[in-house]
Amino acid sequence: MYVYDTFDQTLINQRVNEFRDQVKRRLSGELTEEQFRPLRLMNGLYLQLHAYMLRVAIPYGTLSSEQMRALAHVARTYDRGYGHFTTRQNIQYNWIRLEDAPDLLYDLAAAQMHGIQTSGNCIRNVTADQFAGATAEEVDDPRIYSELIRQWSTLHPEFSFLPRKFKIAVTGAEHDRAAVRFHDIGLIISRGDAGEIGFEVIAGGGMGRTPVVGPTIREFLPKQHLQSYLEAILRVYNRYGRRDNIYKARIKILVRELGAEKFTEEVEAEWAAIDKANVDHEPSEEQRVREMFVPPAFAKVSGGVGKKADQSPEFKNWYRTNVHAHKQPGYGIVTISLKPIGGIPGDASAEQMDLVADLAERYSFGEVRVTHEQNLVLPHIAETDLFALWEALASADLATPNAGLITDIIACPGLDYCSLANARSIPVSQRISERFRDLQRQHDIGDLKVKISGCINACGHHHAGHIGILGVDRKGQEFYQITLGGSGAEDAAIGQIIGPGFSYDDIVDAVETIVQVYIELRQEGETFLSFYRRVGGEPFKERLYARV
Amino acid sequence: MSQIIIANDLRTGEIVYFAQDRSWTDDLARAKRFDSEEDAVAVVESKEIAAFSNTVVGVEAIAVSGSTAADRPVSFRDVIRATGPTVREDLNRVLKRA
Repeated sequence: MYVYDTFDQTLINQRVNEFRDQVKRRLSGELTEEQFRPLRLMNGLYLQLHAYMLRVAIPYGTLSSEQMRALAHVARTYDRGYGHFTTRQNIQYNWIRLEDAPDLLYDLAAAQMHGIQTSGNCIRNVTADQFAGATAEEVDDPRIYSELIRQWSTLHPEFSFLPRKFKIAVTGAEHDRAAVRFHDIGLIISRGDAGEIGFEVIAGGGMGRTPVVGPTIREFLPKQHLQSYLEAILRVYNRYGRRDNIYKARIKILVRELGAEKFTEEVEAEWAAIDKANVDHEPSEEQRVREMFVPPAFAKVSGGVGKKADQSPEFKNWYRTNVHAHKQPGYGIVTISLKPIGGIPGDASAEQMDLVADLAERYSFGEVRVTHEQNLVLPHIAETDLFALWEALASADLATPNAGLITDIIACPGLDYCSLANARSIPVSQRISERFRDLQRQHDIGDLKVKISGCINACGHHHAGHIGILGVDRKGQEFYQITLGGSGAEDAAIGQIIGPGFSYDDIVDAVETIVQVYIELRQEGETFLSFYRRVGGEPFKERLYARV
Repeated sequence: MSQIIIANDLRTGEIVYFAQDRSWTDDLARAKRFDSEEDAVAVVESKEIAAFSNTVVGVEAIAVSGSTAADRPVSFRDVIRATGPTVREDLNRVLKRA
């Protein structure tokens, strides 16, 4: 785990003091709302439908057990006992009082956390593969490079007022769990011809109003030039990105308008002119960071889950979907589903957060991860501890055996909380979850990702859903448009609209129909996504829009 | 269509309404009712409301239907603002008040 040095800590302590003064001046009337609004947003404090919402950055989705306890403390002390883990590996609190915000941020700072750069047209919290440092697939640990990016991008003076927000994701594994092609910059750690480590660089991906699968603009970038190359991309974007139209201001529009080839030429020319020695990180700094991510002291365990586990069908169900292979023999990676049947995707109570912190300390070397699919991960669990862990999780409704199944739904907060939303997302996900609650049926359906957004901003990643659902407002009524065939993984694709939308009452039946078409017509072993790619949308359309 | 004026309390962020006694209340039933959107917007843009700039934020007029005692916002978004998230009954403002 990365641990703040004096510089990091001083920076956020000073920021808390600064914000405390700003809040005081706002409450006294010295600052108008117009003056104060950008200041609070720079600290992650939004005003939403019901109250202030604080978004706390969780760099590359990595938390220590102490930090998880701090998040529980915030939920209990300053909110209404819960928090919402987001598709950007952050956490949001929905009921914050402005007058409490400085004390809250003070408490977070003590746990090396903050809300800086979780809003505004700057480089946002960097995201990464939640299995980093645990999966055998990876070329190198993405947390190391993510941390270097975090340091480089924090309050970067040149990139604090970009045309629009800017998101970077990093993966080191072949299987993309970080949706890198849907980010402004995606980085895939890879090896060069001589076996040296570097990155495939992707730019101009994104979701929102204009979904784009980002093109690769450089096949291989030696790792030592990470910062200078990112700086070159950001400079080109900062120079040519549109500031006259918010809907055309993201880098994806620039890359599309220039063309990937021309954009790459601009970046390469800028990069050639950059004083790399002055921008790139020192090898010693990379080494310092790397040492904070050395693998924990794994015990030599015999492996096997034990007799009690072998005799428990419930445990076996959970093991089947929620435990993944670890690079260390005798260990597993555990996904804690925050998708109980009929529950709110991504929500966790303070008590649940405390329990996860305790379990991380007891079983996972104090490490917790947050996934962009709104689940948590305990990355290093000895197989011999899995049964005890599962029992403890089950006692707190945290052992739903559905990771990767149809009820493991991504949903943005939607109209229940968000001032931008046009329609509700959460209750749609709850109803779909209830409809497909039968576990045997979920397994029969297999790998199927349902993703729901309450507006075109696509925080629920609907474009990348195998089944994507977008909530729209049609004459004051909630309607839901369905897309099929999207993927946020290494086979990234944008879902295609299947036809006219469905009402709130009809949307779950529509999903049921889609699933039924797949079940009836699939070939042996064919996943939903493979099936869609083979047959296209017609069989679904025929059934969905059939007139009796 | 009848209108009321809604805002967020500056200090707490909670939903409040411009009241009949020209203060702010968290009780929808006490909200001052305007006969038209023009009347409500005129008040939203008035010096009277500007004087509350250190008390409330996000002031806007919204349409309501029903009798004064049982005003209900017309748009679904405003219903949710008035009552709370539809997915958390324990946080429902109306039920809490009852």
